[in-house]
Amino acid sequence: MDQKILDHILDKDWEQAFKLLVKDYHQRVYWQIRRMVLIHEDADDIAQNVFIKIYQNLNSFKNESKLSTWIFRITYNETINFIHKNAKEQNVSFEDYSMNIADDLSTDEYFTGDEIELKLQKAIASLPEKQRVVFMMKYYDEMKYEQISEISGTSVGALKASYHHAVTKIKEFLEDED
Amino acid sequence: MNDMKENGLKNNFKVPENYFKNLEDEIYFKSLKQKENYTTPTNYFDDLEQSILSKTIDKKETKVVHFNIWWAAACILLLALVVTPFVINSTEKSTEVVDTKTENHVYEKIYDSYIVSDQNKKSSNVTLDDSDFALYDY
Repeated sequence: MDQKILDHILDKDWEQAFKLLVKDYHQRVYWQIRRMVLIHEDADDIAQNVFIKIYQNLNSFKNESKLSTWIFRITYNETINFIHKNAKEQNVSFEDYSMNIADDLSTDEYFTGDEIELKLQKAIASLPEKQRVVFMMKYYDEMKYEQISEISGTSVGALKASYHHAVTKIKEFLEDED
Repeated sequence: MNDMKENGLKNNFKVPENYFKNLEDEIYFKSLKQKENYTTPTNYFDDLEQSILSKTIDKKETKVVHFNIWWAAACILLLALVVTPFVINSTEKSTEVVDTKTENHVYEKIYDSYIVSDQNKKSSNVTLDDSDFALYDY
């Protein structure tokens, strides 16, 4: 599907390219956001903003990176900016903002996890930004380090270290909670 | 394996650094990842797709006319210059018309007053002499 989208972009048929792109990526983009912000309504807002940004910048896509990488880079930036902005408004840290959201998951109608899954979400929410991002992308999206590096702008070596630290912290968190 | 050791053969296979530690972690977390625990409203993704398209491709663009104060001032001045002569002319004409009407009204009143006064004179049987008629001799 990416090749069809690229063909339309090359032909400057922006509308058709964008329609196919939305069809192909809207769920993936949404879930990548949702796992970071946890709340459906926030994920919905961010997802729509992401696609508006994609639409506005589609004619500047140079095919120097993979289309998926470009899309997920926009997604990542919008998501991280959203969390930082809200954390700043509430005068709390990135981690504390996410932890507060995770604490309310048990009453969220769109969260159906059990106690263990709830603990895991809280453990992930307690991670610093870089560790959380790399863990989410490897654990849930099963991305390779090279792609995560292109999306986040962090080196592969730093990502591997962050992932290792993330895993250790999560395990410690879960063992402490027990 | 023991035979290999006894024969001086070694294990020539290697694994990446921290492989077994990472494998242990992978197995641990995969055991936690049972199912997707986040849900969405019914038909959400169909609605999301439509919503995105309505805010982008299908959005009706309203033409925005940028308001330039200098252009507006120039237009108003030009309009004033064009319209003013017409306004002044129409004002003068109407004044003329009013004055003519008033003038005629005054003349009629004067004329009527003379007629009335003449009739009054006649009715009072006052004899008119030539000097009276002289006023009307044109």
